[in-house]
Amino acid sequence: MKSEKKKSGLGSSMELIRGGVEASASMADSRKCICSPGGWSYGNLDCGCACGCFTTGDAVNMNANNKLANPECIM
Amino acid sequence: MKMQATDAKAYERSNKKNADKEAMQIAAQIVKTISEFAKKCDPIWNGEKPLSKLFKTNSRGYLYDTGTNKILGCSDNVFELLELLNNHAPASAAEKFISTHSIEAFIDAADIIKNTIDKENVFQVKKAIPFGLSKNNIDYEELIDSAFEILFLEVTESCNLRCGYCVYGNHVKSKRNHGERQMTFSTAKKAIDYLNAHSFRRKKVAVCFYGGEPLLNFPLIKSGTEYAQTVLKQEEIDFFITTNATLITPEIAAFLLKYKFSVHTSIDGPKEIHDNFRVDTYNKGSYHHAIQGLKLLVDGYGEQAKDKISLSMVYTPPFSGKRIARASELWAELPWLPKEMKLNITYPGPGTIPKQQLFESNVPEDIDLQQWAFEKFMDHYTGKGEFNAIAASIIERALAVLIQRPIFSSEPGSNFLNGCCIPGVRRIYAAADGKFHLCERISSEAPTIGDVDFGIDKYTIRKIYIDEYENICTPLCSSCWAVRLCTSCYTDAFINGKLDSNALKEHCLVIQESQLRFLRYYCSAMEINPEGLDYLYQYKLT
Repeated sequence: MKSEKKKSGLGSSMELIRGGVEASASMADSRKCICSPGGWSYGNLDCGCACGCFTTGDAVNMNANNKLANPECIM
Repeated sequence: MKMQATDAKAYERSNKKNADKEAMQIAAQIVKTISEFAKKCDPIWNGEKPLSKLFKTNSRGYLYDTGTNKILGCSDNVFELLELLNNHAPASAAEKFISTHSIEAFIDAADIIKNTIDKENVFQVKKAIPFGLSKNNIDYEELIDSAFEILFLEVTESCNLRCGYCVYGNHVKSKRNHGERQMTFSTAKKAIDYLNAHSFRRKKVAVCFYGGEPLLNFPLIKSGTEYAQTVLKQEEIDFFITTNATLITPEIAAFLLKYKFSVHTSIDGPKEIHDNFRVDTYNKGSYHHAIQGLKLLVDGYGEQAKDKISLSMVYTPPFSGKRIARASELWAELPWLPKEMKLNITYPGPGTIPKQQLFESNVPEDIDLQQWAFEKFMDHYTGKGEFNAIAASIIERALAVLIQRPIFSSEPGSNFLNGCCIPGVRRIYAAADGKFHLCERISSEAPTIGDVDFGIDKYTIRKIYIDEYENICTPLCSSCWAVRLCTSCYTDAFINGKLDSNALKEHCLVIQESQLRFLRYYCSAMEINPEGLDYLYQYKLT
């Protein structure tokens, strides 16, 4: 065994980073496109369809918690 | 003396024996540790690797796990061991790690990884399957019949401007060109009737007027709006218009306000920037008329202006930090323009500006728009600089998508078509001739999906937009770490009217790079203030 070349510095750790909305493990939770009306967003920025929208069932619950990307989305 | 020499040799032998014993014990411990580690990790990392992405900010390493959509911060040793696992079988990764670290460091890092697998359920997905609508039993035909939401009406093909980067210019093959066709009321009526008949599951629908420059056919906008307002059953009907604003009169502004139109106007920046590319048929800049129209709207809408009027900006060459900064001065030059208004800014679309012009005009201080925006955003985020509307529009949206992403405690077992909508459900673009297109952004060479007389062509949707698209995408997307963050959709998929996997592949690289960058931005902001982005939970992504 060779001597340690590097020091770990912070020590070993893995921690969850803040953010996201808890979703149940059902199909309806996967994200889907909800393009914004009237918007032309073509080009190198990829701002096309990155809506992060949720779907039917949980949309209602998440909206109640003010955590929904698109409260109107029923898809 | 003799005795002493013998004693020394015996002592030496004894020491060697002890050292050998200790070495053997350590070796046995290493073997045992590696074996235990491999036992736990082999199902995950031996052979096909789990879908995930390791990345670093300036400060530390992170893991993005595709299956759960979680982001985890990693210490140096954990990051290094995960990198090794991504490239080697677990036993080999462990050996390589131990060759440069202490056994204690390995045990520590390995324990952390093993515990995190148990606790957070990460590294469980090697393939994002089943992929697609049909594979996930989505009854899209039923949705087509009942949940149609946004109707775009191309009220005219004509435009009074000839913007240098216009995708409808004669030099852009994949998009329709400026034409002369005007939509008739009969066509608009049929399209609105179609919306009415296929939206009964919706509480809210939208009608969007598009062109060309839609205000060149204002009489149809007027009659179409009034008809939609009368006939549509929903309590809430949203009206939208995308316009260059040059033709807005006090009467038009009053009409748009009366029906609470959301107005998307195209302004590139202060006069010299705007007039560079946004010119009329005589090559004369359109800034003066556009701003005049925009002012009429802002004055008319009053308090509602910041929510109802938005800007569409194109970042044009010569690309430089100075030029973006200059574009940002639009608000300083127009103090009446709401600072909080929504805007989107993009580079010119591919193929719209000749490559020669793009490259020749690059200047040494060129800076990528996203990078520039992030620097400005962080200046404001850390209290060192002022709010910049352009920077915020780019960065806040990207970070909002990340902070609002769904987190799965276990793999949901379904993956839809990356960034695609369900064809014929979310939106339909009814062209001036009455043909239905998937949306306003898709190549005009892409197959149409019906028309106002016969309605939606479900056969084409199923054959091309569902089955063929799924067949092309599944091999690409099911093994992509960014599948849950992907923005790619049908607009990126057609070449010469046909679905093209190479076009998609090319776009994949751009999207992966872009999403990786946004993950870095997100984590960098979190490092400074973990709660600082919480306001983006309220950001409306529509």
